[in-house]
Amino acid sequence: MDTEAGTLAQLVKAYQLSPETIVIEQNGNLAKRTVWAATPLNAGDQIEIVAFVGGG
Amino acid sequence: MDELIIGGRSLSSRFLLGTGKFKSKQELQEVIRRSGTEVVTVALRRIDLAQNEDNIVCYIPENVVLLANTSGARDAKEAVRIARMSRETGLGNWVKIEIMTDSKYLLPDNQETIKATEILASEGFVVLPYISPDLYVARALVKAGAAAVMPLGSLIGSNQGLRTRTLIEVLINEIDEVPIIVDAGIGRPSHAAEAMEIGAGAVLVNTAVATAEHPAQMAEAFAKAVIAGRLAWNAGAGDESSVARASSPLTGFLHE
Amino acid sequence: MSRLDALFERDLEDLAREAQRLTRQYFGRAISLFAPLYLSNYCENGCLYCGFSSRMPIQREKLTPEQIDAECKALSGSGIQNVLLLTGESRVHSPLGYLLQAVEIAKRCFPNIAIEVQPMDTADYKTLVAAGVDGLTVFQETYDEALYPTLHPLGHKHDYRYRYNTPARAAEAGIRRIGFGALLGLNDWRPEAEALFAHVANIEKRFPGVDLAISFPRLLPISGAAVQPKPVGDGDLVRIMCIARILFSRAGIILSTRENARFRDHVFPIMVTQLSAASATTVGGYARPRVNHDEQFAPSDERSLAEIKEMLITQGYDPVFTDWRRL
Repeated sequence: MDTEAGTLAQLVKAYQLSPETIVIEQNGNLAKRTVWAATPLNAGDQIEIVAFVGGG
Repeated sequence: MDELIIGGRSLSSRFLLGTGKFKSKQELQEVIRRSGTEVVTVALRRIDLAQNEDNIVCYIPENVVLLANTSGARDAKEAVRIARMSRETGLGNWVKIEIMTDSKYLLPDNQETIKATEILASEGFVVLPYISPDLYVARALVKAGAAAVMPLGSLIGSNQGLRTRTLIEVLINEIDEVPIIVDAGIGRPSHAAEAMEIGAGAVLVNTAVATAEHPAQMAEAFAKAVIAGRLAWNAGAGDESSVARASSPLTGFLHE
Repeated sequence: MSRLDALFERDLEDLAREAQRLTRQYFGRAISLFAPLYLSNYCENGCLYCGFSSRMPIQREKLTPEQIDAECKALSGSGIQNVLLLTGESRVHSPLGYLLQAVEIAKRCFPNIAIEVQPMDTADYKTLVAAGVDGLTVFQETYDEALYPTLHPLGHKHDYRYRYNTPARAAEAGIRRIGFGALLGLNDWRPEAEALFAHVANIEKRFPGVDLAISFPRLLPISGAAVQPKPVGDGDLVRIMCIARILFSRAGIILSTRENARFRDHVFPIMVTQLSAASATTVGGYARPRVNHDEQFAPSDERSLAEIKEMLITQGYDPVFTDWRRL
């Protein structure tokens, strides 16, 4: 993705996501919500953002 | 009080609801209300950043437990990963283990499910494993720390009811440590009532409600069926009637 | 009313029909035949109701290995393949070593060997299982914890808990089948039956792989004993046996030769799956002539094995002498 965000927290804000309901995996590791603001986003990072959706 | 206890939590509704296949989140919200459910399943998916959808969680009342399923997992490792991610949302630690490599019938992999249960139960999750009904597997799940056992009634989405009834009855007879929750294949309220009548602890229904013409009304029908079935189970089998007989061929000798 | 209460209140013929239906469903018309072989009547206990009591002045004897061999040959020669080896409860006269020796000898003649001897520790049971024992029978006699010690004042049998836990220890040791029973007549039969069923249910739950069997010995009055029975009527006994079948659909239900032929012939078709046949209840008794010292264990049904087999076949039953063997 193309983004100006430098940290995970900025990324969340940039995409207008509600932080309480999502989970971020950075390079295969869960990124702790409490430190998103301090977690740098680097070029080439694999970012997965997941949230609950309807399911059986 | 006839409460359902799962993972230490007391529930008064024995109707668990799946949230897949609904037309809209608003419809889901109304369905949840009419169903009286206290536990709904949700799945974890990658967000499409291009779309700006509100989160389904906003449409689920606070007092309803989110049962995160591990759908998409093809083995224990993936299921564990999904479960941990679900817990990371901070929205609870209940997980329904659903592990399938079979995309034709969507039958769960019982063995991988046992492995995932062992790991997740030891990490403090409230684990509800979904399985093909099998007594040895159920025992292993209980031993591994599962909070319930969820045998399928028939193939997912088939709406065929309790095709596995006999095996479910075996589980109900033999497993008394945790509730047996019939999941998958319940197509009609009468199926749900049947499951409850034979002693299931609860049922989980999704497709039959979501694909009904009037889902909210169908949800209410299911809720009532579950209550009726449970009442019948608690009422017990009818009195053995002593049919009047002219002779007692087996025990008549006692009076000779 | 609980389910169990309802069964105790139910019409007897009704109960019998259900018991018979379940028995046909799970066992067909197969009746397993076995015979007891008493190896020794030495006993360290002083049970108030028993003619073998250490306080009773009876002639004590114990078979030598050669005699055991002769008895086994005679008994197996008659067709019996499932033997129950019994001893009085004596850790001095029939210790583990003696029993192992007997099992080694018996193995040459019988594919199925069960024992009814003094209760032992799990380790000893493991040794016996490895040696070839596939069944264990132990009767709690009475399940009433207050009454029990008064009836068993002497010897190791005085310990209620140890005896009660014997089936569990044997199951842990890997035994294949376990026989239960209360000696009906020591106490009111209703609470005894309930406690017996609870005991069996407990083992069934904890050790689902073990085959269970239940006996219903009725105490007979004996001369000189300090305790006389609270009699259990025939109808009550049939009721208890039917309920056992209904509660435990796959358990063996045993009727021994303590009961007379008329009773056995009428009752076995209802729910029984195991019969002892042509039993000698003196020490030995198959190779040597039988000398009955004590009425307590005296057989009332004295038909020969051949007669029993013929009766079963005539009545449309399938006499089974063994249904499995260790390879």
